[in-house]
Amino acid sequence: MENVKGNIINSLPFDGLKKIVDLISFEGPILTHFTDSKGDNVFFYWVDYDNSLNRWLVFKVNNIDLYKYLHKKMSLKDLITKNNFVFTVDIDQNVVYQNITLVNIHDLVPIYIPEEFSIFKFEVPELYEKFFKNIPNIPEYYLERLRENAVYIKIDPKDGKQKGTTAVYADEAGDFLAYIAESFINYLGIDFKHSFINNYQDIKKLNRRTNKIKSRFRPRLVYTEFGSFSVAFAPDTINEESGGDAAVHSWIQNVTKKYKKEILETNFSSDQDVDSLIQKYTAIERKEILQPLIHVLNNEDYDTFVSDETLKEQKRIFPVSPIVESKLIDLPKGQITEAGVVKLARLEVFSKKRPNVLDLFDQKIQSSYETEYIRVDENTGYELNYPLRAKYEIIDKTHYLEEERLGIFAQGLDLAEAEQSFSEEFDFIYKTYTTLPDEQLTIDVIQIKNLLNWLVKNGS
Amino acid sequence: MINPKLKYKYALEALGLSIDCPVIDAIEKETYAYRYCFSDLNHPDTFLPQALKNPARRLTTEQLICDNYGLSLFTTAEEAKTRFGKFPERTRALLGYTHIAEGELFPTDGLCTPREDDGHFNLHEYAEVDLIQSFSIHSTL
Repeated sequence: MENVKGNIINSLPFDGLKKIVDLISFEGPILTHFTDSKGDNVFFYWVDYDNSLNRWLVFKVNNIDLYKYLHKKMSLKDLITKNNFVFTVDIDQNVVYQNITLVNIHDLVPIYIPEEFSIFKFEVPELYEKFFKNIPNIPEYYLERLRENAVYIKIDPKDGKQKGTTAVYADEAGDFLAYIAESFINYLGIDFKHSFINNYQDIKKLNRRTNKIKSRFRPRLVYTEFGSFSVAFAPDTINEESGGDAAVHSWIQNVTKKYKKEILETNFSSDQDVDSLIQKYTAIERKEILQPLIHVLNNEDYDTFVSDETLKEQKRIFPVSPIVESKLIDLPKGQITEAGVVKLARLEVFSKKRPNVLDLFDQKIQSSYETEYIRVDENTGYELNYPLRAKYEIIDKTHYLEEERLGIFAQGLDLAEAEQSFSEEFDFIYKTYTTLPDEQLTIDVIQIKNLLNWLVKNGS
Repeated sequence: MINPKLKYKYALEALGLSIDCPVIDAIEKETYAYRYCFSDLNHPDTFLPQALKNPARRLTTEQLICDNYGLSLFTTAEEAKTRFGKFPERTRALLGYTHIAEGELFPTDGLCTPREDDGHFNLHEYAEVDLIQSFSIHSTL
């Protein structure tokens, strides 16, 4: 065995050592976690042996470092060397302690110090879930746990080199955080709906739960670093309960990583990636998730990077071209289908009197108007499950849109004006009919209400 | 209850274990198995269970548990290598293993505990079994 430089002492200064678990073992312990009578963590790490004794390095570990070590954020080397003093003890096979030595960390035999990246490479024993739950809520520990599920993003000012600074403007940092949070919160709601839609027969209940989830798990800022502006955010999965629902608990634990993978790591220059987003999310969902993100990515003053918790590997997320942006977030507009100028004999039937003159071969545009999205104004719109088809006519320079089943008849001096009128009428009847109980409605209106509920996928 | 066919039956009985040894779902089976070894397969520690090595690594006065009388094996050489690679460098040096031995186990060799997630299992040898006859060097670690 190696010679140890230090002061021999009578006993280790830890009373009532109680074994928690062998963290590393092979045909016997290699690294073992104990607690003493005060509840402090004490590690025994096998470092040497001879014919009759095994030598152990004994050192204290605080709860946060224990957590970091088990979660691969701190090496065994750092765990040991952050102590000013450690102990070595030689133990025989009857567990009799000998040669207990207090060692200044600077005098520790170099080969007893683990290698640089001596991270814990095994599964964290299940008992630690309970172990950590019993630790009082230390702010740093709370943050450490949230950082486990955090998304790390960095913005780098483009003029940094030129101006000799990597500091971002405060207002831009503020906007950046607001946009990213908006994108994430919207993703949270949308992914929750996608994941749990089958659990809800009543769409209103699903919407109410979704809103609660969005509010409860608003991301918290769990890490910041200045220079380049690096931040990490995560939903508060520690203080906020998931309602005792194991499936929701599991979902919220993974949703941040999912957001990172599905959204932040999208290559917006790749047709395949863009098509995948289009297939997975509806137009309104894409708009909610991507529009705030694109504000960030297309900011001309900084570049954006996504990273993991080590912050060592940073991946640039490139700006989104106008074509791709339009493809991803422009909401579908109504289209004129079956358009055509039809010459027909128009029979005036509106007047009570039968017309004297029959206008033969008068010009009339008779077409269909089809839309999958009803846009009312900037903040209000309806995404439809199925295209809504209306009759579109131009008569005497007036544009008409008519949907007989819903009883909507709109007109305008051009198509845009007719569309706007149509959308407002749709909005009015949707809001009126769907909020009233059936008892207050006629049979005809109940039919319209049912049709509206069937038709509307998302309303905002 | 101690299985009466085990090689270390008397030592296990002396421990006064209140548990089944080996575990009740340990079974006889025919399988290839892999074990860490030194370059010289005839090294006396090669097929010696940890409980009989000198000095045994122990940190508590709890009785040597049944597992210490089993031989650590893996179901594939890759799994054995992966587990070894997870140990700190100093541990690898102290264990001293440099190779992996491969051998075929038969029901007459003993009882195998269920395979763990990383491919590890223990063999509790029957009396008169000498595994050195059925193992050979497979690869370096």
